[in-house]
Amino acid sequence: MRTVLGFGVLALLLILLSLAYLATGSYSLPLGEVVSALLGNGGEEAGTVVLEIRLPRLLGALMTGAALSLTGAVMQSIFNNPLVSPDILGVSSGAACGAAAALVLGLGAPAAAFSSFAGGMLAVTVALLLARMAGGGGVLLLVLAGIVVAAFFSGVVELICALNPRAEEFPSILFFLFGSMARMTQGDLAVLVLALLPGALLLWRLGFALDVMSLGEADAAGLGLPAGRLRLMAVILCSVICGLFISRVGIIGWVGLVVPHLARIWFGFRHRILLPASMLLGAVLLVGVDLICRSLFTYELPLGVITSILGAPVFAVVLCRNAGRRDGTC
Amino acid sequence: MLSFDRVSFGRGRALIRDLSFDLRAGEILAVMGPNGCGKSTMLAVFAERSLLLGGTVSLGGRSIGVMSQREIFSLLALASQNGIPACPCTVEDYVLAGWYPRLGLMGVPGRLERDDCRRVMEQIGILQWSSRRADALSGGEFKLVQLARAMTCGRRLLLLDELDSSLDFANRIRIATLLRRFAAGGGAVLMITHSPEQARDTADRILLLSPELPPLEGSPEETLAPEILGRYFGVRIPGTPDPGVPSGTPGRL
Repeated sequence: MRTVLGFGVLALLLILLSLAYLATGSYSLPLGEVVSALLGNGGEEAGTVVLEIRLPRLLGALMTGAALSLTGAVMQSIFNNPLVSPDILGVSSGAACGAAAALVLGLGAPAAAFSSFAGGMLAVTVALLLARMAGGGGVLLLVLAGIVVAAFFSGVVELICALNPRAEEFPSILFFLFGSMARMTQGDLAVLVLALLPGALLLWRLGFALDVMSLGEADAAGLGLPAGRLRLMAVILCSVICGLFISRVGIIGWVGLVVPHLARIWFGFRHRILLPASMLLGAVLLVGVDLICRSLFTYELPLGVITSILGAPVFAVVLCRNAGRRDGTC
Repeated sequence: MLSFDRVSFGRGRALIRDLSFDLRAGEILAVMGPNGCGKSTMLAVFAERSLLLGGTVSLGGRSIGVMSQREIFSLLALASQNGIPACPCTVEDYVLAGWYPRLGLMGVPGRLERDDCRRVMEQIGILQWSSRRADALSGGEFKLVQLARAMTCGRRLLLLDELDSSLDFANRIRIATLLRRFAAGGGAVLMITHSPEQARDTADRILLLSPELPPLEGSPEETLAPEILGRYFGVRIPGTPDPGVPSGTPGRL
């Protein structure tokens, strides 16, 4: 009952926020017109604004929130660590590096997106290989390898910026580092749908195995679960999803870390429920935050800035709430 | 049901060599030995085959070398010394995980599996803990939950690693009774224990392991005799003659 209520409230919130999202902006529309535009019988101008400009961006925000939260929840479970975020293996630093390199070479947005994805995958591959060389696929080694790789690629981004003092690319690079929905196109949307839907379905199918995995690696192995293989599979899947999203919308921090914690508070532990719940909550959150970004000021704020400013205190509250627990896990 | 045939095991270097025993349906075998002699490692060979350095371990007549992990763990349950999980699962979730070997990576537990877990928990008398968080259990309570998970899924073979430690004496008696009933119903139990009383009260036979001496298997009366126990644990038990330097090959009694 609690679960149904939770999903109901979140779905309602998402619908209301989405309508508000489509109605607000520099060209403000009454809700009635938004609805008729969505149904295909509105005025031409309203139709263009709603369907071609705002809807892709809305869907982008919605799916980004869902994807980051889904991968965050899965990564936290397979690493048995509540402090893990989806980019623990350096995918976002690698992606930033790829994007920055393409941008300073003046290759344009589509090439930058591709290069960013390639950079993210390169970082994750290096982290996985590094962990393997250092002695295996254990949790601690993976996390440490991820930190090393992330630090290295961040350094390279700074180097690229420092060596190219031509001012014109900096806004684009900063835009990427802060994360934004403003450049979402329909082509991007198609890529994101193809990344998210099959990945989410597969992870959801693995829900019970993820429950067992959360009990701890040794315990899972004592039930015949191939923990190392499942972790590798999930890490690769999550990294590909994250890499594709980051390559389109830039780096959006904290969502993947905080949302799964919030979802667990209400929806509990079982991944068959937790994963869709995290996705829905993440979608609500990011649509809401992007709405704030677009409407609070006359100029647009980067999305990642707001998620960081909101995410940190929310995470602090979650931590304090769990302080009484045995070991602080949510 | 479970047989070890001239088995050597250990991490790289053999801790125990040439261990042979048979555990048949209806039997309870207690395993005793000093700390670090390889008791838990003996049970770890099922999940980690590289620990098996020689000999054959078979389940129901088939070598575990030819069985998949899921096949092995749907036949036997391993209640190891892993601590209470550091995740926000409930007791019911923990017990339900016992069905994993049958369900597999993409499986979903349904009505049948939930009912089975509930039945086992009721049998052990912990059904009222279903929705409690596992990480809020005491160490002793958790042992009962581990036993419940081991008994799910219709398993007939339980391997219990120090399940009786940190139990109060009422729960020790309760576990001993449960295990004897389980064995009487055609199940088999291998239990590692550090308590001679628990071994004597629960087990049909006792297997003594030691780093220096060859494994020794026998009835509780034979193996728990103070001079034998003293020799295997390398300690003089008050009121018995000094065991002296371990010598000879006692073999099977």
